[in-house]
Amino acid sequence: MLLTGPALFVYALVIVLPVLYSLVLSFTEWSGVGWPRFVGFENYSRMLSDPVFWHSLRNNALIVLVSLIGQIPLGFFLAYILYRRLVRLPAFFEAVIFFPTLLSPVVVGLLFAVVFAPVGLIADLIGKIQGLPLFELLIFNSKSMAIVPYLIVILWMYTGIYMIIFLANLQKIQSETIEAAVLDGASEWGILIKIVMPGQIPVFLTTSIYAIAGSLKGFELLWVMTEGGPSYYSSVLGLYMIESTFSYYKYGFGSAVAIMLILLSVVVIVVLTQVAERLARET
Amino acid sequence: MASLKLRNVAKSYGTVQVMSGINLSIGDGKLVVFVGPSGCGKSTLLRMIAGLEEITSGTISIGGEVVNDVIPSQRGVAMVFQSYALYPHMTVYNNMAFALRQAGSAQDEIDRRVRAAAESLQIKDLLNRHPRQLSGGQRQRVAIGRAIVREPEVFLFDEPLSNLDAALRAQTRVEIAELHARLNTTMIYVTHDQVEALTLADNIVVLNNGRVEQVGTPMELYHCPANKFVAGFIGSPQMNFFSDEAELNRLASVLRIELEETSTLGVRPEHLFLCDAGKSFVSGALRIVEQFGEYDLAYLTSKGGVDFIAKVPPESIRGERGQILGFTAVSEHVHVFNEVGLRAR
Amino acid sequence: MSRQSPSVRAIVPWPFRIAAWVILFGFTVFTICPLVWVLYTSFKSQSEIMRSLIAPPLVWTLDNYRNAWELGEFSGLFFNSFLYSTVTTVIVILLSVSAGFAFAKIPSRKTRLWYSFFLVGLLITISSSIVPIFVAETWLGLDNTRLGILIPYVAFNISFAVYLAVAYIRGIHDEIIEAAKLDGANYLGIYRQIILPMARPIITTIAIFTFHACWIEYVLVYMISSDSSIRTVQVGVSLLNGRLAFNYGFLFAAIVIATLPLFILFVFFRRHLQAGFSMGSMKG
Ligand SMILES: Nc1ncnc2c1ncn2[C@@H]1O[C@H](COP(=O)(O)OP(=O)(O)OP(=O)(O)O)[C@@H](O)[C@H]1O
Ligand SMILES: [Mg+2]
Repeated sequence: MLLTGPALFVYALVIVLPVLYSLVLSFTEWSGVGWPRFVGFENYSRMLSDPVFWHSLRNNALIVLVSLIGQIPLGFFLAYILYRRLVRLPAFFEAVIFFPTLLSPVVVGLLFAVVFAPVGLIADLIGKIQGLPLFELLIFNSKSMAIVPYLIVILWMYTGIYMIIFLANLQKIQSETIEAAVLDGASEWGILIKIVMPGQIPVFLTTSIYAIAGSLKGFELLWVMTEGGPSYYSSVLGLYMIESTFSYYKYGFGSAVAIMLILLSVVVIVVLTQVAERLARET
Repeated sequence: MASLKLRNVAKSYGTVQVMSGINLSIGDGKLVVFVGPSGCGKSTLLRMIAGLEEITSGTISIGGEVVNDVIPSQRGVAMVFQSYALYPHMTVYNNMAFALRQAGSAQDEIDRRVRAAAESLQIKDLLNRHPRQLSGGQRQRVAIGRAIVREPEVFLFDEPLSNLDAALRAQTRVEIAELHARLNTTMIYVTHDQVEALTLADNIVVLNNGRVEQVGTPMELYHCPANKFVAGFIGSPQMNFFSDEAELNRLASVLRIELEETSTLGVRPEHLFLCDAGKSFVSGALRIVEQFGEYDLAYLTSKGGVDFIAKVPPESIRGERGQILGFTAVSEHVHVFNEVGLRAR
Repeated sequence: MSRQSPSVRAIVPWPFRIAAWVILFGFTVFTICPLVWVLYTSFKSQSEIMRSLIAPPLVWTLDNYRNAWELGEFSGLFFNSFLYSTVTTVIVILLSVSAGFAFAKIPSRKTRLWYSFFLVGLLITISSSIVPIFVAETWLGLDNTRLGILIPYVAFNISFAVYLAVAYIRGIHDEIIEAAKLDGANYLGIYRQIILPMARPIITTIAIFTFHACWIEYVLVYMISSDSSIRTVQVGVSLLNGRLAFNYGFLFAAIVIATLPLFILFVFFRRHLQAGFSMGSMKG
């Protein structure tokens, strides 16, 4: 108790108490002054009938999709190339691809806001190629496409994490296993598909969970890059929570969104972990 | 130096009882070896003596004083672990000095004792190295050195040689014997290697399933095993057992002893010698001969289908596979066990 | 961390070889281009930028850096960022290694329960619980104070640090701790003289990882610091953007300045960061 006590104390004080506090607030209406007024589940029902909520959820889903079909497979394949040393200087490529994951979301958000601005880098490039000096990039004006630049950014920034994760796991494979396969005449393709991939299935599962959790938790980058705009087109649940709370000082409603967000991440992760464990046991 | 007494010691993990009814008395300055198959509780017993494991019931006393509630470092015991458990971030010197520093000994006293121990173990030149810079055998010595420095009343060794290669193991075994002769301190030594047990021990404690099967000198255990388990465990190759009814009747008449139907006979391979098939009390079909130079081992199967081994002079058997060979033994070398495995004769 | 890749060559079918090259080179170029662009644009004058966003500078100038440092008041921001990151790191190490020792080596039903309680914290980040934190801090009067930043920083980094510490300390052989017990060390002695020195590699990882997490944190400081004197580099940079629309050279110089400490971490401690990140995904 002497050893664990201090850590536990801070943890409980800062994480558990506020969550409980906002759980209470989520059943009230409160603007920050005076007494909160109890309103039952009204905040929750209002949230579920808000189109902004559903559009944000859709954007979250797209982010997860990019992770599942983009970052994770790509990260795995990159890791495999480096693991098998199919190129010279694998350490160089490893370092370069890993670097963006370290950058701060603020910096990356600012940078790519300029890249995708109406008269930003992309517009400049397209203008030069097509000979239209006044070309403007208007992707943000489309409600359904506004999230796409962000999807490109996360592919740029976070694929390195998945590569690192797979690399760490690939390096746990006994090198004799690969050597035996080579002696048995397996090609590089055969080694990838028949020897290495099956063993990495649990890693695919955990990285998927990681991606889903991450999509629900992080929104700083998007906040700096687009502020969820124009309007709410590029919003995600995290931004929706911030906007609802702080733009109109609706602490009760904002707390309801926050609780929803925390609940969603905890439930999704706990459920998926159980499923993944069962799957891993069966394979 | 101190004697050691265990009275009715038992140990349970939760509801699982792993040791029960252990009564032992270990004389001052004796080297006692605990042997037994894997999982029989040797380490547990040793760790209970050291105080690393609580005892569920019973009492342990060291030097006449009950130590049940004495913390490990105050019991006057030092232990050499199977993995050596050297502190990897400390030099050899600091490893050996650690306990003395904990006890607050004076610096020159620490230095004198560490150097003396290092001298006696011939690890003087290693004092400034870290454990990872040592070979397995050197680490072993440092682990022993760390124990010696404390000048304990009782030394505890938990399979200290099991991580060494065969040659080093034999050499270190002799050194431990010399160490005991020199220090004349009570030592308890755990092993599952019966060669270590037979060569080192003043007394051997045979454990099985959390119980003491027999306590005695090596020769007592060898010549008069109290039961079938001890008989089978001590001696290599293992004692041969015959319990087939037809075989028993024949054996009984040859040896002229009374046998129950439920008895088992035991004869060590080295006590069987070749004779005419007609006069033999056991005969069998030869399966294979292993040559060791100094002797041969013949593997046979009796008519009743029992496999047995005979240790014979080198190249005394030139037979073919399947040839029938007869063996006999003098009657004092034939052990008889009753139906529950206890020695009957 | 041992790193091994079997070096035996296998037959590489040509479509596979081409795919591997295209993907690896393509992705590497994709990664590098924006970084290089930021870097050279930060040395470009505003007039050149207006003429072409993409062209490399004809004249290299340090004006952007000079202006950014002064106008952005970076010295104060750096001081705060370093303060929060360093203090948090020190506290997190002290708390997490001792808790990690208890969780890993002093087993009891109670510690196991507490440990799983701790692991729940891995699922929550500052950003996802910013609303409750904000509300609680204003209620307690901690907003706009350095303490109001430090306490959440410690709390939200402690779960992962404990997780790393437990995983590492579990790997320390029990017999070493028992040997120390026999040698007369009590729990505090074992902690100070055995566990702390042996856990040095994981302590470095925890330190680097925590420092990095604090350095890039944005939401909390942004939300609770209306007073500019307690702001961090991240918040400072984000606010520059609004003040100086379209002066990209200036903005990019600020970006480079803000990223320099991370680049230093990257150069010297990449392995530790990678280890932290790859363990981070396995906590599940
Ligand atoms: N912490 C524990 N919880 C439950 N059972 C245990 C525990 N530690 C040991 N045991 C059980 O106690 C018995 C004795 O174990 P012990 O380690 O003393 O065996 P041993 O004779 O030293 O074996 P070996 O030769 O393999 O070292 C074993 O059956 C083991 O499964
Ligand atoms: Mg053992």
